[in-house]
Amino acid sequence: MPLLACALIIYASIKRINVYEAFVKGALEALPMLAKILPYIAAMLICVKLLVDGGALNALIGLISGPLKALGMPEELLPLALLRQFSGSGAMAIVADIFERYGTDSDLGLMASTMMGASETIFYTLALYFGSAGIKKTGFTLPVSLFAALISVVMSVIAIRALF
Amino acid sequence: MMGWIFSVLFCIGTLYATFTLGGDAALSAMLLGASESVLLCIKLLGTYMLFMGLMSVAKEAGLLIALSRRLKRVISWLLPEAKQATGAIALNFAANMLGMGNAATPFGLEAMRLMQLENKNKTTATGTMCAFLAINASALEIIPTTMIGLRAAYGSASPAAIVLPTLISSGTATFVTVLICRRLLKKR
Repeated sequence: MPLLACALIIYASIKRINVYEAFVKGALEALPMLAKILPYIAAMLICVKLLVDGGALNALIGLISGPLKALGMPEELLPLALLRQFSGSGAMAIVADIFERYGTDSDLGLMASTMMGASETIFYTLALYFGSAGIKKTGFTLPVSLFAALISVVMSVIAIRALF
Repeated sequence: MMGWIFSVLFCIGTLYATFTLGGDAALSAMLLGASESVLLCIKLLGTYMLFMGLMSVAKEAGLLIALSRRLKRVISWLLPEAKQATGAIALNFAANMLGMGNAATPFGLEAMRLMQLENKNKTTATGTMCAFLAINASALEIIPTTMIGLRAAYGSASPAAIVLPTLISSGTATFVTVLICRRLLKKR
């Protein structure tokens, strides 16, 4: 990546672009962009904190862990699979906890790693991208994304069981 | 849709916290979430400045347009009406596939801005926007950089062992998403 950036700068210099000016102009846009998306991030994180610290997420996990366990999904991974959709840093903390408890190279550790790597913080991403563009009606994105997330969780468990 | 989700999450979270832990706990959770968002934005500001600066250099050097032309075939197969956002979309997908989520966001937001320019109804997402975000959220990952780093930090014997399973898992999710999106886009 750093070499790619360097190649870009060299190429632009050869093309007689004012590289410094161009860089500063682009970097200047970062602040207004973040100012625009900050309220969307705030709204999402307030909900996440309420659900996690307030215990509602754990209650939900308690409700659905029974049926999912019957389907072969390890219940230790359930909090991760749910929280992953809302909060990247929250999910990362769960992964770290699983690493400490079961080890990075245990089945659970590998499944957690795969689940984390093969998924995106859906609600956060949608809020950010649609929010920044001022979109209110989001069409088919959310249902399709949630379905894909479910596939990703299931496939992570299956892939680790099959490969290790 | 987002408004509805916010209301549901907010109310469930607040009611549960208030009745189990008390109102003070609920309030402090809200405040904690709000201040966390500020900290996150400050952390992101540096990353965004770096990548938006580089993107701006690439734009001025004509590289974004060149990239758009090169990848037109692939992107237009996925998103037939991406038009001038093609270059930004390509950069967003590329950064995401290499596990650099935070670097991908500025490219993605730029792509949304360009697609919004051609959107006739400014508050409703176009089919292309929906498909772009759905594919983005399905998270195809070739090298899960962040996870490999975390595994190494926790003393894993083989931090990169998750590359293949991650590819299988995210590849299936992306493949299914692309199929569904193509179906839905054709219907319109």
